[in-house]
Amino acid sequence: MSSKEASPEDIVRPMQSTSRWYYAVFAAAGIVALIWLALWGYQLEEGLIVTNLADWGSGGGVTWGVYIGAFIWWVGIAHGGIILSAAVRLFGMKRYQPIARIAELLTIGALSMAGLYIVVHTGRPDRLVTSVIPAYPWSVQTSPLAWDITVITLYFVLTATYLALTLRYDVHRLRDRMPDHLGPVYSIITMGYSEREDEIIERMVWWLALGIIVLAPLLLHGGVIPWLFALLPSMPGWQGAIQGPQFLSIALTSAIAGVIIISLLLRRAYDWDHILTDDMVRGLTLWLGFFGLMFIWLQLQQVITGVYAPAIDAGTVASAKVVNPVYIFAIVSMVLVLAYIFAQAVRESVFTPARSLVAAFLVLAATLSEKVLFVVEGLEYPTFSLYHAIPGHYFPSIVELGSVAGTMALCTLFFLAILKVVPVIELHAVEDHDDHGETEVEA
Amino acid sequence: MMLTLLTQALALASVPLASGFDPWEFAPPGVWLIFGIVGLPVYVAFSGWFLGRPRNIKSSVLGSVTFLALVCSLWGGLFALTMLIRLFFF
Repeated sequence: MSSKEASPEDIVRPMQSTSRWYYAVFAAAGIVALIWLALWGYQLEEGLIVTNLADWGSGGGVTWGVYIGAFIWWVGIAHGGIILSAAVRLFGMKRYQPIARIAELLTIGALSMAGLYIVVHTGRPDRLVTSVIPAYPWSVQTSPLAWDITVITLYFVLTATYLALTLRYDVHRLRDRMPDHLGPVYSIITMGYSEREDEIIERMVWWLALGIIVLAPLLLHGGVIPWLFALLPSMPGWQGAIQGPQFLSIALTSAIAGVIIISLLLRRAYDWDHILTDDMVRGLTLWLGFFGLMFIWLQLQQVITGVYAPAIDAGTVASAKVVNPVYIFAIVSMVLVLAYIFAQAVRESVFTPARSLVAAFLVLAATLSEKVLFVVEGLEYPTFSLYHAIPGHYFPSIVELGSVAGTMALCTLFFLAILKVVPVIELHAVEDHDDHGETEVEA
Repeated sequence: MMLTLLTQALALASVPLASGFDPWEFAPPGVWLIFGIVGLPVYVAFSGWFLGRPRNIKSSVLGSVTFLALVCSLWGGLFALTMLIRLFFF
């Protein structure tokens, strides 16, 4: 562990200097994003025919594929991110304070990508807003899609408000060390600021954290999002009360993996070993193991009830799932990650940040695969197989696969841009920092 | 005569003209769910801002204005994006 003392200079460093690596990553992400935007433009010109989505049943087609699977995956990352941050504030988990803002920014970036997926998936995205808003008073009464839009809006805005309020303290104190050309942005962020408000804003953020910690896990990713699927009785792969806990476990697992990846990359780029310490990364790795175990446990519940003396429709979808290579990849990856996490829990020498980084990437690949498969197989194996004799299975087109790389590149660009605008580590985290990893509340 | 009318009125009053109060019809499930249950944590957070301690009306209003401005900019931005798509592609 480093013996360096954390200081405010550390957290403003990304705004003061730009390395060659920064430009290289920016260029690479920019190229990938542009290629995908061109592919999306092609889709807008030609229509959804350039995807391999099809009318349900015809040619073995499914109407929801990678776009909706990736949408759920991004939403999951976003929800888990803010839950992490809210837990840090609400339960005083100071050990994780340095990653609180990273988790909040991950929420904003990931939720934006999720929203973009809805726009991309819509055959005529120009009609999206004009068809949602006027119909809202009626659609909200019965449509889970309208509930979803409502709760995601609430959630995005609560998170952004949370971020806007917490930034006031940092920007006011670090203003003279931040870039002058962004002065107007900082003036808006700190509008009407006075040091007397610090205690009150901190309390307001606590209230927001309280709201978010109930809203996000219980009603959003453990509620409205799985209800989009679980309330449809004709799709046995989607149905059932287990979808709530299953979605939530995947969200938390994916979000912790995302935070580990971003933390370790930033730590490497800005020499933040003394802020984003090994101790903290190991703690996050253990949480990854805990939620990963929940993921595996809930999968086991679904597989056992699906393959042992099941109803015919549930048995069909479960049997198809367990032999699908994508599902096998997801489960084997998660089991390998869990093996590493338990090994490093028993023997500390097994832990290395690089291994945790690999584990986090594997987890994200596993959760994305599982989510896409969940959506696709849910549609491919309905209760009434009207199209059973029609050959063919869905496999995503290059346009759809490009969207995954493209949204990841856009999210990377978002982080690269935000690094130049505000500190991604809270000032409180370096002010209260204890280099020996001791905390007020250990978790 | 009066007695006959009264008897008829009482008889009419006892006829079940509707099957009773149906809460799902009065406010369908989504209304209960979104504004009754999902909204609760948000109501609690806002109540905490305005009623909890320590509090300061200026900060509470600032938080509320930020919240509303973000709702408008989110849907306004989405509207602008979709209109741009219409302009260039449809």
